[in-house]
Amino acid sequence: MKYDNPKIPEGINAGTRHPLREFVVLTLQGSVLLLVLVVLAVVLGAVAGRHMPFSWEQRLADAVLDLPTADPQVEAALQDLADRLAAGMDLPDGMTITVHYVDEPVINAAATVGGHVMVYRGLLARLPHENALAMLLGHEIAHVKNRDVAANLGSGALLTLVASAVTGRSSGLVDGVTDGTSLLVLLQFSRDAERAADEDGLTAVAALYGHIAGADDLYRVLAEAGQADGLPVPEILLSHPLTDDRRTAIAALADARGWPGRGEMTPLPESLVVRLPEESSASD
Amino acid sequence: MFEAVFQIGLQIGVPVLLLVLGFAVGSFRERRHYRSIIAREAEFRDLPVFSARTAPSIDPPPRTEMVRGNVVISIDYFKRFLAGLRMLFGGRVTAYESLVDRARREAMLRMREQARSRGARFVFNVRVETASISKGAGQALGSVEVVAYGTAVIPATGVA
Repeated sequence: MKYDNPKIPEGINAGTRHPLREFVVLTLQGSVLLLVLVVLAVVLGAVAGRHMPFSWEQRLADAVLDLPTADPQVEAALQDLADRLAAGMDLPDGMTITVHYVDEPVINAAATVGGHVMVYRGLLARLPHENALAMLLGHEIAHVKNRDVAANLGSGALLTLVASAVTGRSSGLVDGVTDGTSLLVLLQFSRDAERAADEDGLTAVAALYGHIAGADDLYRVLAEAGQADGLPVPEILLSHPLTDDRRTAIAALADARGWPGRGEMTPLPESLVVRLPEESSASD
Repeated sequence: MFEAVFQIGLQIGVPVLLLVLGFAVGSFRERRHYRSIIAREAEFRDLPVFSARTAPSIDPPPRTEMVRGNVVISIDYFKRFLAGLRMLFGGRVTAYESLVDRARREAMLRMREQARSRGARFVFNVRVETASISKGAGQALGSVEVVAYGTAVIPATGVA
């Protein structure tokens, strides 16, 4: 009997396929799979979110949102205007709007879960009259009414699910869905949703004042603030339609509905005249 | 704005850099290791190893000793990424195949080296065991340990 260990050809136990080729193929397959999952998550999550009862949103907001009252007087005046607008917006039963004033120089406002709307000092201080503020609140209330917030919440929850499935980290799921900060990050609506909110907001303004004069001053203020930032952003990157387009769309809508474009502006109530501290500038 | 670009760059750039480095250094080392394995396997061809449990009877009766060789090898960042992608779709995880192949052959070579230093002619009853020493470490570690052991057959001294 002869005992021997012959030379065994290479490539039997370990594959000889080039790792870079495998990398390219797998990455492409993975990207396609991920893209499909993300699109599915966004679309299905939005559908599910829009069908979620508003009371669920409210319960979630109670659990995760912690918005301190910056100034009760300002908040009460904002709430009063929001209530007057909401009265003409035909909100579903049980839907409530709660306005919060955030004492920060950011030129922004946002609607979040449970009908909570935040108005930042930076924007409020730049609005010239109540009509522009009404347009702003009407727009944000429309996001709540159209369930855009709930749709985002649903998409965000499913996206978090996809992310945790892909990365294998399950702990992120609970945090991602219920963490208040991640809810605020999600607050980017689609451009169609923005256009619809513009339209509903403008309708509410017309119902309240009998005309839409001054409503587009909101977009003038936003456009000026954007220019002050000095960073022109391509339109495709913005979820909000470009402000010039929005002003044109507003004028067209007013023509179509026969709303007068001229009328008397209502000054801001005394309690809503907030001042910017000297140190804060438009570039905040 | 600049900060955001910097952060995104950092978040994407670092893993990409690690992938490129992992691929470059990892494949260089793997090629070098295979060259060394093939050369040493040729060198040790006159000291064959077998999985048969009993050695053939030799006269005069030889001495037997247990010999072993073990090795721990880690996978590189690029291959771990590749294996992670492979987990999505299934199929041969070639990234790990070469890792385990290298480890088994290296362990076997180290065992033969020990056998030769003891003056052995063969090693019988060779067994190979593999253990993942990354268990419980999650993504932190992708190492494999292989131990090979067997019974070295050492001819009685003074007889050819």
